[in-house]
Amino acid sequence: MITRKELISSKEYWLVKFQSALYEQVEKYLCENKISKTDFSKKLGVSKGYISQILNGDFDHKISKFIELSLAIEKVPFLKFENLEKCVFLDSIGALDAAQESKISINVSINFTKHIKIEKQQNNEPILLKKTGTSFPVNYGGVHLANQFVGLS
Amino acid sequence: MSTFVLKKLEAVVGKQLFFELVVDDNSQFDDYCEAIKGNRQYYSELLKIFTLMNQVSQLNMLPQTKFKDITPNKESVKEYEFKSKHLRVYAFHMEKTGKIVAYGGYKNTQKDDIPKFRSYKSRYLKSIQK
Repeated sequence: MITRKELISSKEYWLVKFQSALYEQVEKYLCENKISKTDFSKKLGVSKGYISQILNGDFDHKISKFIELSLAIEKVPFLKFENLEKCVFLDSIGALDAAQESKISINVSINFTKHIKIEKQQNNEPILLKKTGTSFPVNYGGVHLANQFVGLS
Repeated sequence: MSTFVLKKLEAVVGKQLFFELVVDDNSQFDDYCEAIKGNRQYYSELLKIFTLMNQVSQLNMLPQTKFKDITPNKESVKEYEFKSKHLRVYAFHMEKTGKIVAYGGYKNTQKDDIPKFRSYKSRYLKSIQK
């Protein structure tokens, strides 16, 4: 069976997430503005088949076209690169999506029994997890981006 | 008399839970995933299907070309198909439980696969009625 770590570390996971997000944005825009696929393809100067490809969740074209498309639906794409190991860790505590959307700030601290204390600022309920051997920024995903790293060993 | 067990799919995380159907200690879907791991193209597609399951679990929108309601008329328990270029994965929805993945198949065998999926579903539903 496919493991969670295997999935999160695969190119397919990030590609499908990207394609689905683009599909959702374009679909919403066309629906809210009552624009047909034909009119939208004319606006972008592309074929109707091209728009159908996006609406089938199969967008895999040039970066320039992706930006053009984003602007056409009155959106701007934000690009952020994160360490893969950190993403796998955040996912294991159920904080990956929230961190991506910067909805919460996560504070990580350690005591000498090698536990990581994680505090979600949304509800201030601390969670204790055992984890060793990795480094993470002290504050992640929120407003307070402290430039500190905690080494666990 | 077969025994049915629902095993949580660890790779799928979200608001809606996903399970694989285990019948008499055997999971067709697990065997299918293991068999596919040897084929690079199919393995890549399987990862995409697992990502689609995650999207559904997180209640995100998906195009019908990737995730389709295949429930027959007058059938109350909803049936769904996850699609990639060559693969098809079939699941049904149970209220208060989540989505139960019961069968994995291929595009070119879907005519045979769908009745097998419905047979698993119907046997499971009968087992929980008793």
